[in-house]
Amino acid sequence: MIVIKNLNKNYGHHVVLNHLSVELHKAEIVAILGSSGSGKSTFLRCINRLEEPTAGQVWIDGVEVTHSNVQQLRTKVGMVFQNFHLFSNMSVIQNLVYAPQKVKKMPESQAFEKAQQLLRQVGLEKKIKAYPHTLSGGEKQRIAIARTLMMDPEVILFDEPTSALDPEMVQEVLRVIKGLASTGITILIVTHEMNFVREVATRVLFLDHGSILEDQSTKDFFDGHNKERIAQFLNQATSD
Amino acid sequence: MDSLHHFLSTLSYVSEGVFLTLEYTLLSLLGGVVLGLCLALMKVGEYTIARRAAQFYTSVFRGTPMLVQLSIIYFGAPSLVSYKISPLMAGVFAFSLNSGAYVSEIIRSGIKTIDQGQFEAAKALGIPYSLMMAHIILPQALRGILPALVNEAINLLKETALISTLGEADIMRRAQLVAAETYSYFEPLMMAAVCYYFLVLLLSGIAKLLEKRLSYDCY
Ligand SMILES: Nc1ncnc2c1ncn2[C@@H]1O[C@H](COP(=O)(O)OP(=O)(O)OP(=O)(O)O)[C@@H](O)[C@H]1O
Ligand SMILES: [Mg+2]
Repeated sequence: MIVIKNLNKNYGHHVVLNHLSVELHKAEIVAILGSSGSGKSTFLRCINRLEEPTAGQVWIDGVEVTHSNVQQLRTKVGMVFQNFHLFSNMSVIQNLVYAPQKVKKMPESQAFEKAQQLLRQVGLEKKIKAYPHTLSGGEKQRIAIARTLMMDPEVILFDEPTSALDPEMVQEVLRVIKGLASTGITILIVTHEMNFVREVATRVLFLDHGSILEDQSTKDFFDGHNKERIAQFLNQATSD
Repeated sequence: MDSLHHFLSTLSYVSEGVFLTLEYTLLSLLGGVVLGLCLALMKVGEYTIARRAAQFYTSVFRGTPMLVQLSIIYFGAPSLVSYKISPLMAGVFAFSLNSGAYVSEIIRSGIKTIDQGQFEAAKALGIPYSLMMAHIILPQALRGILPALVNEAINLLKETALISTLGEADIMRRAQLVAAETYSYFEPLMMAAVCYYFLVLLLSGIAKLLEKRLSYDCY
């Protein structure tokens, strides 16, 4: 359902994404691995056009979105950031209902109901009136996930959702993400949590210098006789 | 007894200018904030021509004396278009144009302090630019720049004393009139100073309340 063709991104002469092509299917949980600077974030950001690709195309559900209506693309593709980015002038409930009401014209009562249900899902129904600065990192990230889910996206991009968290809060966020698997939402996640990848991901893309060095099922990726580059990465990642 | 009576009548005459001074200040502030907001949005927007135009505007209005700007609008422009402009219109117009330049810089710098992540989260949710600015970015920016805006309001209030050069009976002009009549300068001018100071205290007080409200509502 997501087709990426020859995606290129340059910053000046610096090639960050290099003719990247891949097809992702509905409900896949795709882990994107690779060392720092390999282009993982840029790849995600080119999909929802927070960065403009230098060349190449992205198709979603058979519609080319690289040059068409960005707004429409973004109601289908949600994103969760490393640093949460909750709207700091809005309470939790306002954070959740704002976009669906304004962008999708969802009626107020429906938006509030949906918000309450999602807050229960992420275990934070008590925080409905709290402001972001009163929440812990783990709570902020769970609210940010709920905020994204409010839009009923078909795809969610996670860019290191637990990297800014204290260790004891990582699991509560991963548990929420895990709960999204098998709901039909397609997930692309950049993460360093190898256990999570092993357990939840269905597919692994390994990026190296802006290209896909390996594209395998999770099982093959971890069991397989990997290229030296990947073996080296896994050694490092699991020794952390 | 006589001198007390004289003192009080002078005080009441000078302080009656407070209303005119306030009228000029508040109208100009309104104009300045509206104009400043537009200019600030041009400066942070993606259109190069708009950005350049707003920058040029700001540099011109910050780079020339207020008195010159006021004089051009009141004395200069009518001679070109042969249309007499009232002091109130000229004053409010000139002060708004001038204040807009300063306010635009204040708002622009406020917007610049907002974390890029707030913009990106809004974009990722498909929130249109205008709504993002109105409901997410500007409210956050306002909290930080409120003191600077109050400062600008105070400057504006004091600068309205320039309308005395157009013959408007504001605080300053009234003090001058009394001074010229009685040949005593100290007393009426001190009264004028006290009136201005009182107004500034009033403005600061209102601003304090506003700041408190904002902090309770937002955080
Ligand atoms: N705005 C930018 N301007 C110039 N270069 C950039 C910009 N954004 C990213 N880059 C460069 O692109 C490369 C890939 O960056 P990217 O953030 O996609 O890597 P990453 O795989 O997400 O790394 P990390 O694991 O550290 O987050 C890096 O070399 C980075 O310096
Ligand atoms: Mg990254």
